[in-house]
Order: sequence, then structure tokens, then C-alpha cells
Amino acid sequence: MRAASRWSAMGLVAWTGLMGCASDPRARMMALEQENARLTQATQAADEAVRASAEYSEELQSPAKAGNTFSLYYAPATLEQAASRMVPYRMPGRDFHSKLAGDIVVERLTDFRPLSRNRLACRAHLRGDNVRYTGKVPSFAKGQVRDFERAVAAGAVADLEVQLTLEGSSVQARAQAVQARFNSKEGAGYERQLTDEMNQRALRLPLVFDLSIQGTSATPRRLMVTGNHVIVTYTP
Amino acid sequence: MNISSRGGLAALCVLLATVGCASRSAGRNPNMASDASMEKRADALEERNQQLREELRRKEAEVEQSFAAVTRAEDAAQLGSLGCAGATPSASPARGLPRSGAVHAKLALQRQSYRVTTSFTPARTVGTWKVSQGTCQVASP
Repeated sequence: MRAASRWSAMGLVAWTGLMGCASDPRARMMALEQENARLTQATQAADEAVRASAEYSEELQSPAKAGNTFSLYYAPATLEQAASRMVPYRMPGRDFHSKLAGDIVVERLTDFRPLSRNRLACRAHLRGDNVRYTGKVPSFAKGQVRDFERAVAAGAVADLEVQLTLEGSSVQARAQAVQARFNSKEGAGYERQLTDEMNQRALRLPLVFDLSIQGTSATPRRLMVTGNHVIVTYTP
Repeated sequence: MNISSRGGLAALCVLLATVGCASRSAGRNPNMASDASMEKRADALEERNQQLREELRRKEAEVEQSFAAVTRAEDAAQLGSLGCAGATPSASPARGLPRSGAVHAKLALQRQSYRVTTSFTPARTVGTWKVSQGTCQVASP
């Protein structure tokens, strides 16, 4: 017993020593600097969200403060209806995974819901069309690959969060899959993989909406998401 | 091997690991004082990050409150359920609103592009605002 505890103590000393050794001060500093940049940016974004909300609230109470601006309002139902005109949208399977042949079809975008910090939640309904995994697969894993292919063909639902950011006269919509569920139980166990692949590939680039208005020189100056609408305010 | 010789062996392993580690560190950084100063700066930054994390938590709560407040303010101004619409303060001249049928949003995807237009109804006064209700249309050129 005493020998065992002595071994444990020595193990602990060695472990502690090695961990101390592993923490290179430069690596630690770099990680802390990255975290600092992320936290600073998130704090500034939070400040900006509160400032924009306060400004819009004041305009709602005293419209004179809005000056000669005008706003276009889009309710979630309107966005869902507009999105329904853009689907089915077909993407090559390789947009999801480098070894995926065939197509992934976005069949519907539903359940649009406004979120704080200029975000929208929505749900993407996807299915695979003639999807095949073209990578080399050891024979013992071939059954799993077939399960995965069948699961993709049967479809999946991905919950997305979309961050809207006004940049000049465009809105960048950067979507992130929060979670994905396959419609068939053969896909159980691959959900995390699908979510990660979507985030790393298909959703890597934002959608860019050009908001310039045909025939006018009006420019968008604020984008706001409230619990009711996405609102774009323009200066004529 | 008895217990004390195993203990001696373990101690030797720890010693070797520590010496190896120290010599690697020294090899990487001949100036140990600079490492110590960096550790000090890292400690300070870690403390700052902790403060920022707490500040961010507070601000995120503030953001949620202001999101709820602005939604209530919109409802109170009778602008809570506009569908697709254009609005201007009723005291200002309605300038710049897109004409019915004018393209006011464009989206170019890799394989398809879309244009959004709206058919507006004549403006009506809602509280202190002039609102033109619309019907959004999406077309692919």
C-alpha cells in the first residue's frame, strides 16, 4: 500500500514536471493573446448591439430622431417565403466533403426565428442525391460507409444560426450549423461529423446580399434584428 | 527488483525528464530572464482575460435585455408585425423608398443568382409612422 502511494506520488511529481515543461511561455502567450482578441471583439460587438438597439428604440419613441431615413422591414415569415423561392438548391457533395460524389440538395429552409445580436435561427432540410463516398475504405468499414450514404440519401435537418453584418451596402450572412440530425437511424453517430463538415466547407463563406436599391442612391446605414423583424435603415 | 530500487529508478526518470526539459528550454531560449518576463506578462494577460470574460457575461445579459426592450418598443409603436414593408417617420417627406418592382436586394450564389423586388401599397399612417405594406418577390434572372 505504502509502495503504491509512493508510486502515485512520484507519478504526480513527474506529471506535474512534464506539464510545466510542456507549457512553453510563447505558446501560452499566443493562446492568451488570441483569446484576448476574441473577447475584445465580442465585447465590442455586444456594445454595438446595445448601442444600435438604444438608437432604434429612441427613434421609435421620437420618430424625428430618425431624420429623413427610411427602413425596410422583413418579418421571419417573409424571409421564409423568400427562401422558399431559392430552393431546391443543389450543391456538389464535395462542397461538404472532399471525397463525396453526387449532390446535396437543400430542399427547404424553415423555422426562421430572430435572435439577439443580429442573428437569425433557421432550419435547413437537406438530402443527398446519388451520394457516394469515393475515398479508400478498409473492408471492415465498408458497411459503415454504406450506412452513411443511405443516411445522407434519406436526408438530414440542420439547425443554423446566421449572423447578419452590414458591410457597406451589403449584408453578409454567415451561417453556422449548431446541430444536425439525420432522418434515418442509420445516420446516428454521424451527426457531429455532418455538422463539422458543413461548418468547415459548405458554410465556410458567407452569403452576400447586395442591398443597393435600383434607381436610387439610398445607402443602408443600419441593420437591426428585433424579435419581430430584420430591419434595414437607409439614408436617401 | 525491490521497492527501494524501483523508487530510485523512478526518481532517476523524473530527474532525467526534468533535466531534459530544462535543457530543451534552455536550447529554445538562451535568455531565461526573457522567459520569466514573458510568464509575468502572460499572467497579467490571463488576469485581464478573466476580467474580460466577466465583462462579456454582463454585456451579453445587457444585449438580451436590450433585444427584448427594442422588440417591446417596436410593438408599442405599432410596428410589431409588418411582414414586408417600408416605413418612414410620418413627419418626414417619404424619400428614397424603393418603387414597386425596383430591385432592392440581390444574392449571387455559385450556381444561381436572385433578385428581390417588392410591390408596395400606398402609404398609410400607423401611429407616428407612414407604412407601405408590401409583397416581396424573389426572381431568378
